[in-house]
Amino acid sequence: MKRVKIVVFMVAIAALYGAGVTGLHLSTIKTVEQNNRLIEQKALVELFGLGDVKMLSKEKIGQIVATQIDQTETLTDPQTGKTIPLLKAYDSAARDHLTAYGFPFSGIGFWAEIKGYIAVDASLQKTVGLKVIEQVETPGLGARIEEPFFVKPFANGLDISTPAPGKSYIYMGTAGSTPDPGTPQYGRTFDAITGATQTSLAMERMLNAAVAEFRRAADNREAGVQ
Amino acid sequence: MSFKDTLGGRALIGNLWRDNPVFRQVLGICSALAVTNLLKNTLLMCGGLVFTAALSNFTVSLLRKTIPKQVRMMVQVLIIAAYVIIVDIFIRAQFPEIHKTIGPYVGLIITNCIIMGRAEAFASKNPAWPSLLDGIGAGLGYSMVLIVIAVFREALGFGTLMGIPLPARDIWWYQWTIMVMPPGAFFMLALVAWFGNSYVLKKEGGAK
Repeated sequence: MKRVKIVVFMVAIAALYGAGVTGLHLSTIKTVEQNNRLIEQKALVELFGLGDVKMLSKEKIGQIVATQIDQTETLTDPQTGKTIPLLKAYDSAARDHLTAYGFPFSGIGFWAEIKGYIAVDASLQKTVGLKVIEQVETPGLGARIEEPFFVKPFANGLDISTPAPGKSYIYMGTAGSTPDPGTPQYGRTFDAITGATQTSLAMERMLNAAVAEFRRAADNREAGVQ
Repeated sequence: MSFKDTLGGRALIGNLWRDNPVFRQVLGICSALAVTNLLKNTLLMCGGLVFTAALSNFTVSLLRKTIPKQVRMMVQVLIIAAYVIIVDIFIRAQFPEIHKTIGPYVGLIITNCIIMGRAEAFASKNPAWPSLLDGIGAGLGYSMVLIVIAVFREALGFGTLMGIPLPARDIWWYQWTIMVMPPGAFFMLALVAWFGNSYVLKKEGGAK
């Protein structure tokens, strides 16, 4: 009888707390979804440099994404069969001038998966932006991959034209040093984060994989990616 | 009788220093090491812990005569987990950018020994009001130590406080990368524990 009482008590208290927490979760789920959508939209606006998200209202950010970014197309990597979502950014809502393409990248960082987007110019020769949207790297070290100093070289334009055989698209370099012209690293290097070499190496690895996949998929497309 | 002579007052004040959960009871060490390389993350973690410790103590105390002895720890974990999830849901809904940074750490509050320790050692034997104060005291005592560690780690490791660069940083500051890595947390925790214990023992006349 005592055992039955204990079981009934446990079931009752678990149901009570479970219901309370579930109710709270359900009551906030819409807000959380809106927050996540807004984070994603802000990331895309920053990725393509379509505005200053700190100065724009939520509505304006949503409007820019809806009108100036086409997210309807996909590419297929012929080597792996992987489908790559293709983002097309235009300079105005009229969509008459395409400025850049974007595609996602992901991979395992030092602690867990890192996800983000990389943007390239319309000629597919240079990067125009990088945005990390999900990461749990070491705060203050690897987590600095989201900071302006890290993404700036990508916004300034790293060369992603087809490299020499056996060479990479993108290289991790040392802060303050520039590769010599003529070397495979020239124009393709971003600065490693001091104290977060493993995160930097992981970024180099996943970005190279993503760019290679994208280029194969783009080259495979009969009439180019447009 | 003054506040500090009441059961709740003694519990609140004692947890801040004489019975500090971190350097006197050696509880909550994992998160003291994990979240203290940035002061902002530390403050949010401390806020979550004070909330959870206070309310879980209060709830456990209210239910102490109802909870069967054989399953009391299971019930305590259930109560603690529920409050931690409430903290997580609140931060996720109201502060999504901050949740991105400290989300992985919030779940760790469930396993924080301070909360379980205070619920079992104090709240399960004492009335609700003193238990609430005991939880607040334990949370604040923990926060005090973490904030001291975080101030030193962030200042020495990044040359910032709350992300704001310290004055004339370019002149005097040299980055101690080790301070933002786990070994830096061990060094700082040991120093704080050494200082705290020495001071308490000296005050009590127990120092040899």
